[in-house]
Amino acid sequence: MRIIDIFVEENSNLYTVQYDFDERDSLTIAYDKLTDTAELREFFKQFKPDFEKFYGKQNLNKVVLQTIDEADRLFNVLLELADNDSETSLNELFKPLDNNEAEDSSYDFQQLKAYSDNPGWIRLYAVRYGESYVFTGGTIKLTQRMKDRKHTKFELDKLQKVSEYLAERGEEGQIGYIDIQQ
Amino acid sequence: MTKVEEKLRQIAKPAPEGGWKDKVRFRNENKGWLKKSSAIALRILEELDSRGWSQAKLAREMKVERQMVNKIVRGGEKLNLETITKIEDALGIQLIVILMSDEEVVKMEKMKYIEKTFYGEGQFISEMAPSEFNQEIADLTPDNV
Repeated sequence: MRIIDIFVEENSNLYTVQYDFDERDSLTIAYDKLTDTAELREFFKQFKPDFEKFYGKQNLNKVVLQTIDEADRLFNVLLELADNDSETSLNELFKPLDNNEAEDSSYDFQQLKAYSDNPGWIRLYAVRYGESYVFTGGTIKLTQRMKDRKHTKFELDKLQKVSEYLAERGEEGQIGYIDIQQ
Repeated sequence: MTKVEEKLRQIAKPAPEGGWKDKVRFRNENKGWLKKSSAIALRILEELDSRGWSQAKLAREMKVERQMVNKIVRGGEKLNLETITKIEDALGIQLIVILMSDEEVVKMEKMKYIEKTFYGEGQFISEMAPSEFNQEIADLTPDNV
């Protein structure tokens, strides 16, 4: 995997990445994937045991529709931020990953269970440099560690790739994800 | 601004048109039919699973290109009535129902409840033609309901 370009949204501190495997930028790929009914249905069928472990048995169609709603909500938050039309800042929404890329699962999943109408399984990943955020991608995370599943491992690889790419330019970034549960 | 932030500004290109921001705006403006399109996609996928059909098989039955079925099940197609009818005919399911002013949709669960409450489980609907059923319900229901 190679980084082709870094894009900046006009008048904002929000960046996206173009990799060599897709002509779209990182956030467009994530948004397309997270609003694709067939792909989501296939995903939740495949990872049913992972899902049920944390969220219990739920109707497949309902979960897909909830995910699309949540993706729309999340990307609207980003749109407002990119258009400087929001009182919230990315700094308030950014949650760093810990060194073992584990995230504090006991906290996370307990919290998410309390928001049953507000699914928290979508993750948008970014590398933070001061006030600037480079979005590397996004996916659905249903396991404790990102390396536990191929699709989350891929997101971790992208985070690391972008980190390394920019580290060559002189500074370490902080990797993390955007959380808009509240 | 940190060094990397300055570097980022220098190396970054303006985000291309037609990316996520435009897509989010499009979905916001077309929320109503997109929700229906997703619901239709889910119903089709459910039926394909239950029949063990591939999308290619559905395309053959509908006499359309496979790519068209692929687009439909992704939930972003603005379907017209002709296409909806083709899908319904191919799969033997009903995707849209036009309700007249004196009609309403009743969930199967509620039907079962009516059946059980008034007639005893498993006896009524199977033994009675729909017209008789409607008459029976009408007779049992007070005029002001």
